[in-house]
Amino acid sequence: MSDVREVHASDPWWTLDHDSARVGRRVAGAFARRDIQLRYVQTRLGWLWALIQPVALIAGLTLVLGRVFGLPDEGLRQFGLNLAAALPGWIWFQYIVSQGAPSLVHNQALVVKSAFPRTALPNAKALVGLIDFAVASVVVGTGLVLLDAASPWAVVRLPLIAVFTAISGLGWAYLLAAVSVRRRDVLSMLPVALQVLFFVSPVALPSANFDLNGWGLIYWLNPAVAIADGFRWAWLDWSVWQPAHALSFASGGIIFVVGLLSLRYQSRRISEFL
Amino acid sequence: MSEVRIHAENLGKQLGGRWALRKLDLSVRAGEVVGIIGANGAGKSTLLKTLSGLLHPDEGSYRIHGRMASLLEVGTGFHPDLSGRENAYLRGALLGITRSEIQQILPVAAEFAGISDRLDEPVKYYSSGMQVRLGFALSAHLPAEILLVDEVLAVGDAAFQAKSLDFMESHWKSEGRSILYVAHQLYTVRRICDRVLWIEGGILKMQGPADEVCDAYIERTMAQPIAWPSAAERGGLGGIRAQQLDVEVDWTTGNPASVRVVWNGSAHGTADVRLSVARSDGAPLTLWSSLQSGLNKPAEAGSATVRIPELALSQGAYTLHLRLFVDGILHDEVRDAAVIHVAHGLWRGQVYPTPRPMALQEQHWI
Repeated sequence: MSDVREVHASDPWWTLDHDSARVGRRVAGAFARRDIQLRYVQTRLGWLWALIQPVALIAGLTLVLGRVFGLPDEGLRQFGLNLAAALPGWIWFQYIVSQGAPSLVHNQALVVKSAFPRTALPNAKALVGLIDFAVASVVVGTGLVLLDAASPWAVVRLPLIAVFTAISGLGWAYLLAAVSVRRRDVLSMLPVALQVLFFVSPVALPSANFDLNGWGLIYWLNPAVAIADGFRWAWLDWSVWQPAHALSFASGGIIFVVGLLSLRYQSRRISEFL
Repeated sequence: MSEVRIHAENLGKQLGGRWALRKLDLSVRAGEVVGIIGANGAGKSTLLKTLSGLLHPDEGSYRIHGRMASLLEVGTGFHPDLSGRENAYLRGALLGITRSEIQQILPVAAEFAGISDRLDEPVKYYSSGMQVRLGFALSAHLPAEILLVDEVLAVGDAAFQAKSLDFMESHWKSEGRSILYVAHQLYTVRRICDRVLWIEGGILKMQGPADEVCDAYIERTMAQPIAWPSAAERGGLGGIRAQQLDVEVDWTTGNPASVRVVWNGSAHGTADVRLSVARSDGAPLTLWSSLQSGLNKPAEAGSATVRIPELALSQGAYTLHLRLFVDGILHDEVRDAAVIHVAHGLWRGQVYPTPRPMALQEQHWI
């Protein structure tokens, strides 16, 4: 018999055995598969939606926001490129947070009856979002190559920023999922918060040159700044980096650790509270 | 000596500031079926939840050797839009079981559940009975060395329950699995368990051979006076509610007996007073019904008495479950409304040497 599980009351709460990690990967895979299978049930266009959505969003936002800002044609092109480069990454980030945060509460019946690692449910959402992100990236990449705007560095840089996007998104998803077990309020707030975050993040335009104090500090603590500028760096070789970007990257890494620990801490109590 | 699969030492868990489980030592070997009995809130589910990893112990430790599947609730958790097959894979993943392993057991499980031809249909097109059967069948066939089972037998229709019980008795034991089984019906425990733990107030009160512990448990629960739950906690519409049950003190096999039921309330229609006679372990034996016996008692009457000319119950203790219907609608339900102790007596002039409480029957042999 290979499987041995030994649990002591005195085990520290942050430990996770090797076995659970394996189960966690399996559960995440199975749930991602379930979501994907269910996604286009009873639709006519099915998988085409994965293509239509990013194209429509980029074209629509470029035209609408371009008119709002009253851009000339050349400005419109640059605006479109900046937006197209950053948008798939932003959409993935907000998908992980908005879907991952309520994933424990939504699967309450399974969570209270089954002792799989709780990170598996947000992870599954990140996997599902990864597929959308990959499709959108292929669309954007094709467009950028056709417009002769794609940087050859994209191949190396994209995976780096993609990993950062997943980490910072999951960090928030873990943290909010852990809090939502006790306080559902965070789930009600979430859609509004993400909408506001979209407008204060440099998704459509590159980051502003804010000072590192007051509101400026809060601006730079937003990991979406690093995500959006990072994808522009990867796709378009954009490189107006500022020292403050380091803060944005660091906040994404820190929130991952904080989220992971919060969820693990809450795991021992979940079936008492849900 | 076969190997130890579950070993717990001094296990304790606090829930809501009180000890739901305390100082529990437990050891289950390969091939052993161990039952856990005790009143509601005694700590049975807390024990299973702790061993399955859902709750972390507050004291002590445990060690699990082998793969463990916990069947805490078999009939739930299916996704309605996915097929039975996909749901099976999903459930397997939750227990750390791979797709290929599920593929191996799926034909057998589907056959057992009687849904082989509908495995690829979305679960939402299954009847609730089919879902429950599939749930049990999957759980029962899982490739796990250790099973934690809670109230599985409360599912499905009578025929499926009997089939499940047969399966647990024959397959699980012969396959050398280790099973920790929580049940609320003692007769299933007597039938499938080798050893029984009786937990009371979170503490192990007694353990030993199934019959010995079950008998002691029954004796203990029978000795306590029965308090009826308040009307608000009881089932039924509530138009009329039972007030009391007058039971004679001396009941003897073969002698006359009677029970008077008193109720109040203001429903109109024909009352049906039903007294179901059950063994103390919950197994029902016979039913006394005012309507079935031909009495059209108006609900306004407020009382009815059943007279049994010759009591066809052997020596032992029984519980009465009371239900009041008006025009076929359930108005009140009191489980374990009274305990009756039947003394030894002659049945049709004969002595029936039965070791256990059971219903007797008029019979003619040729």
